[in-house]
Amino acid sequence: MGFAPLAGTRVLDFSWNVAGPTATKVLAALGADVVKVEWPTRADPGRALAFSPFQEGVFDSSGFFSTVNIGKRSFTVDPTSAAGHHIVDELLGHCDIVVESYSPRVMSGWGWTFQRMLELNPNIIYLSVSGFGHTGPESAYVSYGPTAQAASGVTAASGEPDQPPAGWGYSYLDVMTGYQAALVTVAARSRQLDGHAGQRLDVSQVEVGAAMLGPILMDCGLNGTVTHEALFPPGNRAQWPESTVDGYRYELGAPYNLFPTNDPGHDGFCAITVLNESEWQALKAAMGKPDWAEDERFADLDRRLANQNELDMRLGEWTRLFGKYELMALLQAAGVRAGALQTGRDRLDRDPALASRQVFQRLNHDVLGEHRFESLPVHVDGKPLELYPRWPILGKDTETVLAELGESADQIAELAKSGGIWPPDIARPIYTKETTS
Amino acid sequence: MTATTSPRPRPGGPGGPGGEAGSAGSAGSAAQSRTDTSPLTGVRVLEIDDGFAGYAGKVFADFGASVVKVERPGGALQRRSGPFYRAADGNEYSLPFAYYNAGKQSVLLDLPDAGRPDADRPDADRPDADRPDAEVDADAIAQLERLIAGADVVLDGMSGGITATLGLSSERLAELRPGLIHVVITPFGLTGPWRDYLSSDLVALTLGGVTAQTGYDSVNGRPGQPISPTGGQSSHFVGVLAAIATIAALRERRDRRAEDVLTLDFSVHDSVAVSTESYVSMWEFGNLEGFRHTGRHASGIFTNPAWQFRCGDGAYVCALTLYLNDRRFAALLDLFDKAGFSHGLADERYATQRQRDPIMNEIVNEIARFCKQHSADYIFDEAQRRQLPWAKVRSPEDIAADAHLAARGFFTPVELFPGEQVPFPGMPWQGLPSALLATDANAHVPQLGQDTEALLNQEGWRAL
Repeated sequence: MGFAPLAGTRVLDFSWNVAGPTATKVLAALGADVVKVEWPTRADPGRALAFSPFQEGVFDSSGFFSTVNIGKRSFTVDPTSAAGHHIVDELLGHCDIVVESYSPRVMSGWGWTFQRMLELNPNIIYLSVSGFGHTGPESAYVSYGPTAQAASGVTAASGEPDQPPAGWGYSYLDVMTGYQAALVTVAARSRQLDGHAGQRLDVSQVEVGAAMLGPILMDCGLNGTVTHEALFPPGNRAQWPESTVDGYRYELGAPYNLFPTNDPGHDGFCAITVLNESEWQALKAAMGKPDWAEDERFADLDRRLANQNELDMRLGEWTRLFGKYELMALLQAAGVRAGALQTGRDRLDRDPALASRQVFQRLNHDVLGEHRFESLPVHVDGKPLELYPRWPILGKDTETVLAELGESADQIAELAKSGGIWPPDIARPIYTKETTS
Repeated sequence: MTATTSPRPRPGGPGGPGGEAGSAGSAGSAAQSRTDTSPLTGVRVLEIDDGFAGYAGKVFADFGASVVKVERPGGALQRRSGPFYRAADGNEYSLPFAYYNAGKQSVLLDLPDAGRPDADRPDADRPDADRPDAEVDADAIAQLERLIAGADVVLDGMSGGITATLGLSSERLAELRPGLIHVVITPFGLTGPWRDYLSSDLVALTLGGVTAQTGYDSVNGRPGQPISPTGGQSSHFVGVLAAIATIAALRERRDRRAEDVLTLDFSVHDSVAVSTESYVSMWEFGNLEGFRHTGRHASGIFTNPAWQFRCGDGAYVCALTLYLNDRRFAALLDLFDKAGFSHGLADERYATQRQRDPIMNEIVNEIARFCKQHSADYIFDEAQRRQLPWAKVRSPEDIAADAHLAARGFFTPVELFPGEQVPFPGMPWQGLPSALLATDANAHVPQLGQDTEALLNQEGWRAL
């Protein structure tokens, strides 16, 4: 095995949907043994969502679920049954980290308060991932990613200045909260190995959003800046010409925008950002030094910022002569920061950098067959970190994990017979009979 | 970093010990005490940042590492990046520089800066802006090497990386510091056909896939304008992933006393490209192209017209109409009825989700009409009281004054600028106290080169 710094770290994962499972995916990619705990009658809703070639009711055929949960094992138990409760007690005693992303009262409602966890395992790390956090006046509020984005200021920080907020076209705070939760967990794991007693980590999506706006919040708090009355956000620009507030990209330049190309469809744009004088000279040279670009209204940064509408219109007339990748290559060769507007399909099929670096790795999924999966994108000593080709096929690892807990074959057979590891009224898929290597 | 004042307890933590300060890392990582409670106490990080690595360095500082920022003549570009704050001492401070660099030390070295975005800015207040790279102080590389020899981590955000730019090979790094972790953060990575390309926040978000999916809803089937969000988000994706891998590796390598150099090569582009929720899966598994839309979950199909509504006070609410199951629909009717809002949704036609789905437009229209009659705060409170997962679209100024975040201690007052207490946004978790915000001294924003003399004299890293 290659780079696996979390090898030997045992994670008991009750989390579902996207944010929590993203955190445990990252831990698994670094070598942690992540055991995903579910019960088939209320399995991770992600199993039923998004891009399955099969009909409803198949637990293991969602492409997106398999992307977010790659590298984990699957354990089935009903935490609300007496036998199941006992098993979860055992699992808590044998793990290093327990993760959940339920509403704040669910785990404690089942009897597993942090205090109870400490009784079972004095060194345990208990990570909860939720919309508003487990304390504070809004801790009972319910949310999905876009809710937290609205409530944290992230939605308001995106858009054209004279239009409604644009927010994000996806759940940024599911992804980023997963990453931030993984970050604090590896840090806490380091303390745990130093002998630090039990740790309770409470990650809130709203706080993740706020932390991602740090300097904007400082500007409001210290300078009394009021963004919603100003021309903010700046669209795709670094700074809106007449705005009285910063553009908050923490870099300044003009031109700095998306520009049209002759690519067909709705995504035929190319970003062009000029951050200094030599890049402006390089851009002019790449265009063949047109007369309009020598106009004194564009002679320095301040004047280009003030005259962006005219500048962007003129530049856009030239960019329309090229395809988006053609334009990007031409400008990058000239030393100008440029990039094509890429969709999911573009990244998979048209991006030579992502292909070369094996960011999407082709693996053979137990049910879905051969597909490309998003990796933890790092090259370690010159080689891409490889995903471990394992997915939490529902219930596939239950018997194995029970055996690891010290349960005998007879005890496991008895549990299975009594419906303790799979509900009797639901057919258990045949491929779950296999055990993972 | 030195902890000279008493620890500052962070209010409102749900558990876990509060308020431990990072203590001085006087003896290097090998001698880390078991009583130290910040995870990176004693760890030494040497940071060179040309734009995308500063966030990872901030994370290390927050966890108690000693982070030394190498700056070149004229200082980090971000020092001249707005917005600014005019402090009581009469100086103007860059707020992004303060947010991303508080708690770090600053060393000024006369290293070449080709490839930096500000390499030739004539307006930069640099005494030597016309200095050709060939005249770089020959001692600068030797000084950098001395700092590397004392470091546990080199956080290398130099354009092109220090190996290609300064000629510091892995072998040389191994000679200087056996066991070093060399974390490289560049726009496109050290390998691949785009490795020499330049980037920016907009270019990174656009190539990486964020911008194509984000923006304005379609009108008559025509996708609206693509938009890239603000806040410098591209550096956050790569920074958090690099910090996770580095912290995990530090611990594991310390335990087995690794002596080889570990190179972790992160690319901003790669990190953004794997961070767009389901948009890659959508094409890989569903042969669907993502649908550009406003403030919603990722989607490859057109679900319903809007989640975002303008309220009577001009603010907006995010109302997740996609998830109106029977319980939530009943809650919606209760919200309408208690407010005395007359509507037609009690009709049998809306009785089940199956009936509602094809006529969701009618429900959305009623929500839009309701919102126009009330303030966003009222709708947020009343909807959440009924367990509807809605929220006001809060402005950044709302967040700066938010009672929930205040109750959780998200902002910590620290003396960030001379003589001034500033509410500093914390890291987004509770239960692992911030070494950065534990004391005013820890949170200090470094002046350019303030630690050069101390770090380059005989004391070296021990000066910290």
